[in-house]
Amino acid sequence: MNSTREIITLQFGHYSNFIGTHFWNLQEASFTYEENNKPLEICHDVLYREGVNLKGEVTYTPRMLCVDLKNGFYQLPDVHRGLYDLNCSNLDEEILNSSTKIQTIQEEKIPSNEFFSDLVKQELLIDDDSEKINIAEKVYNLDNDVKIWSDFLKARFHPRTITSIDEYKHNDSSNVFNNFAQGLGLWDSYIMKETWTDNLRLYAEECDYLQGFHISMDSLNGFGGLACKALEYLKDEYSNKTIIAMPVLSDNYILEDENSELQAVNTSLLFSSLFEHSTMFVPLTTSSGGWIKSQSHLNLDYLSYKNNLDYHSSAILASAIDTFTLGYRSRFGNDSMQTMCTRLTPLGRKAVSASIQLPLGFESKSNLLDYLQNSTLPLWKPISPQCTTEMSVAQTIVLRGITENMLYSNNLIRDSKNPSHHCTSPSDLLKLFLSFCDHVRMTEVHSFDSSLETIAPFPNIFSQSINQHGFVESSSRSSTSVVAKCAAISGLHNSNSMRDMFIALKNDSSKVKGSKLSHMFNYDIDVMDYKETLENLLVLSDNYLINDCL
Amino acid sequence: MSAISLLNPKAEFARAAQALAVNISAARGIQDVMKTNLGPKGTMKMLVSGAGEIKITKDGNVLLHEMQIQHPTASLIARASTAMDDATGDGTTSTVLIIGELLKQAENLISEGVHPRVLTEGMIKARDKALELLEKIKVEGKPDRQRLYDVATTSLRTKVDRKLADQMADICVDAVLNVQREDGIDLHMVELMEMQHKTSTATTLVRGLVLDHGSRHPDMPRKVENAFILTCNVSMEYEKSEVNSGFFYKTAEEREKLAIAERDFIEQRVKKVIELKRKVCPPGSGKSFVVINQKGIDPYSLDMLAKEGIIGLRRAKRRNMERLSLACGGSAVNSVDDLTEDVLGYAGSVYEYVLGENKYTFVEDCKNPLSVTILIKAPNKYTLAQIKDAIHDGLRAIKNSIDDGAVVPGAGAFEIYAWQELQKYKDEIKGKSRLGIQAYAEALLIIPKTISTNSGFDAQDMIVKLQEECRENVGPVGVNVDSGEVLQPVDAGIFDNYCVKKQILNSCTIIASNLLLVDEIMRAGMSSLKG
Ligand SMILES: Nc1ncnc2c1ncn2[C@@H]1O[C@H](COP(=O)(O)OP(=O)(O)OP(=O)(O)O)[C@@H](O)[C@H]1O
Ligand SMILES: [Mg+2]
Repeated sequence: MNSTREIITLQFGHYSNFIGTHFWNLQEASFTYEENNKPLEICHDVLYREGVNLKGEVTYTPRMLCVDLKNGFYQLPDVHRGLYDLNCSNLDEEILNSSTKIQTIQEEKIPSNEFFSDLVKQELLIDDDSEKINIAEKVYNLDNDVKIWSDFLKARFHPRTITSIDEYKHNDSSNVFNNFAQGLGLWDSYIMKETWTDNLRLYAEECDYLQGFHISMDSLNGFGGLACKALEYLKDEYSNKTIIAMPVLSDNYILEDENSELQAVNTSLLFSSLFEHSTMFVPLTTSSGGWIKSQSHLNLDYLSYKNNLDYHSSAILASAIDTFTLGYRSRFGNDSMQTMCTRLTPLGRKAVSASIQLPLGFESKSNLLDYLQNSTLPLWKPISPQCTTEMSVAQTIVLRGITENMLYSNNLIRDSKNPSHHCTSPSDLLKLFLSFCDHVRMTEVHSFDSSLETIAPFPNIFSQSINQHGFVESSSRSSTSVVAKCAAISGLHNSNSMRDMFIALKNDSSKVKGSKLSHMFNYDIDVMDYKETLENLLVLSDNYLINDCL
Repeated sequence: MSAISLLNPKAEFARAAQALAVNISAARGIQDVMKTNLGPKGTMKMLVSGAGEIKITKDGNVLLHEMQIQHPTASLIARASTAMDDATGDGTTSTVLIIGELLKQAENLISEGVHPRVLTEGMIKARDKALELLEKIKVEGKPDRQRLYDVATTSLRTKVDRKLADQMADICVDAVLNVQREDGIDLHMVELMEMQHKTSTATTLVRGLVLDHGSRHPDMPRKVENAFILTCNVSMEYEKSEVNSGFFYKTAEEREKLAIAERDFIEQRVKKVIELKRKVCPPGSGKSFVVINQKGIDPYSLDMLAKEGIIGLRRAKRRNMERLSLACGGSAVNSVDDLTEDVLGYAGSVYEYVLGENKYTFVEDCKNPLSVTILIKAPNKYTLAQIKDAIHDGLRAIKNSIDDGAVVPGAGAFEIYAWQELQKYKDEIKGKSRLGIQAYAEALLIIPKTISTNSGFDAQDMIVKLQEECRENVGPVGVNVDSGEVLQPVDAGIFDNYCVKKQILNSCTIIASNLLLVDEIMRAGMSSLKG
């Protein structure tokens, strides 16, 4: 009997969907269709569902629901749709032949970018070798083409996946969707309360052993409020399921106008609700300020990405999510979301920070032992706002793309007394290493052979000294070749510095006083309730004060 | 007042006049797009998005939602008019047309120096009078089946072609009459179920329920007869998670024990269901048993049920719990302790239907189904959407007429009648506000005019004919869209909803006044428009 423990993924908001798009593209890039001797390490059935379309063809699509505003995405017939569409040709005839008069109103056509054009060509020419385009090896620069997430969405979705909110439009300055209360209100719309919940139920009904939900939401705009309502609904209808929430923050959503504190306020309201309704939550951002504009952002040695492009920053965050969730998406081992959350969130410390190192900075032909010995600590950089990964009481670290035969140099002279010379897997060695140099009491380490598959439409953000396989090379990579895969490290840390994050958040949002708050939220959020929210944050931050009992 | 307007008192006036001109042109613009929709002969619109997605509609409300409306005034009109549709389900196109026409009438008068305030006063008087007239023309009394059918066909024929409309009207009337209860009609008890089907387009009424899921066990029967139905909200899913909390403080052994206890706990629940089944379906009785659960049922529990020949469905829609007990009798339970026979419902037949990856379960032949399902089959999404929208309108039109206890003769009959009576009324009023009354009367004529134009007949000719007939006092007269002659809507069975007409009169007056009194529009806000 199939015993996959399924997860349903829920995405709320434009930046969440940017990250989601990269995430699903990464998954799809890692599918291997060839019969391989070795079973795949990653069990895609955890996040994907198998289906059949009306033509009887088998489909494989994410078990996912995403929500965005009208005009926030599109679905091109050749690229995104078609999985469940029937042939349309005869239907057009049907319309033309019908007796009623028809007037056509055609909107401006969406231009296809270079990547999509190649994708369509590739599918048409699938058997014709002569003109074959190899998308996996071609260098694309989509930086200027990508405006919204569907501009680089390669993965195909089930028809029930996308929910479009008609009440607000993407980038509509006359009716902006920028506050938490609007999101709360939106839950009562037919499309959410009926259609979305029904779509969710249909996914859940298919699952034999549903373990829980991944839920990501934009933290700075109205989507936080909508996601909160969705979480309350999950509590009601799907009690006992594990919920890992990922509020995501992009610097580009912060406008420096008179309402610049609004983003902090939205975030406070969201975080305090996540404490109540999630099993664990991981705020994610590449900008150090999170909810306020800051000059500094994540800086990785071998990446030259632009933080002002959501297309870039979301790729990094998606890589992190893909990596730190591997523990319970593996085909081997019997970790679950629940066991990981239990391990990582003792004493009501539900908020944890995340980290990444991408690429590893691992020299080609080097070995893990040398790499670790020469590395500067910590091995990773934080991707959660206004906090570090230091002083953690528990952590989960996932290393990927380093295989067993890369543990030691061929000419290593093994010292029988040195335990670091006798590890059998990358995870053992890393675990041992961490036990020497950082004093986190509970460290869980996983390692996977599978690298991140960074082929297009993953952005071209690797420095020239990274070779095609993601390792550091002394000679620089030719401009016509891409980094197709890369090794990475990503972790989740229950760090005492989360306290700093909560205090900063509280301080930034308490600058907003009564009348301004009422104005911001058009009186939809009670000032007293809000005060309580802020007090809550402070109380919760105290959970991170005491670590001596652990 | 700002500094500039103090220096130049005319500046303020100029600004207002400019804003007014902007409002008027926006209202006319949106009116132009909507005009061709009105009535049974209006044109269908096919909206093709930038990515090639198709939406086909004739519904004003749908159009306003789908169209990219850039102009702030136009989008204000759109939002206000669709808010009205939310309340009654109809009349959006008429509202937009009358607003456009009121502004056009007003434009001429204002350019001749009449103050907008005076005009709006007149319009409000006219509105009050029109509401009185509506009371006079409405056909009162509890509508019989034929009348309901007429209302439904009138509504549906304005949305889909005639043949389809007439067939759907029958289904809608039957559906509403089935779920009607003494305390009123809850349209939620009519479920619309869509099926994308390769070859067929058909709409049928199922006197019972169609669930959009089926059993998840290969050995469960696909079809049973004489079925007892147990509806429940009880988890039959073994949750490791409940055990795992407190993980650190327990030894592996203790955890294992807890896990077994938990598994056992779920097993007991399933056993209780099986016990009841054995009691009510003794061997050879020809009876069978179906469990419909709002919560999950895991494969282990499904297996236990399958061994007993029980059909088990999991994750049923919350609202279907209520609908099931209305359709089949019995009542939904939240616990399987102390299960008794009287919580069970009954259905003559329960069977599964598979279409692609989707399974459907039909629960049919119920004794007195107070909840029914309308099943819509079509080969593509946009046809499904179009039919679904139309059925929604049809159902609401029927419910409205029952709730109102009255209907209004359609085909422009009310508008002609109101025009004629407002002419008389105007003469009783002194002062300039009578100009507003005149404008209002003329604006109403846009409805019969547009219905005629859309049917290919000359609007002016038609209006003259109608006015002549109306003067004869032969009862309500309207446009015959096939011949271009005058007809008796009551005889022809063309009826509109009373509450919709009332809403149209109210909202177009409020919105138009707001647009005319531009100075006040800021303060008015949207809230007063919903009124
Ligand atoms: N068979 C008919 N002959 C003449 N007029 C008709 C007929 N059926 C309906 N009408 C008239 O058409 C008008 C309704 O048209 P329609 O339903 O297209 O617009 P609406 O109700 O204003 O807006 P919506 O798009 O929201 O339905 C009513 O005035 C009605 O009396
Ligand atoms: Mg109508």
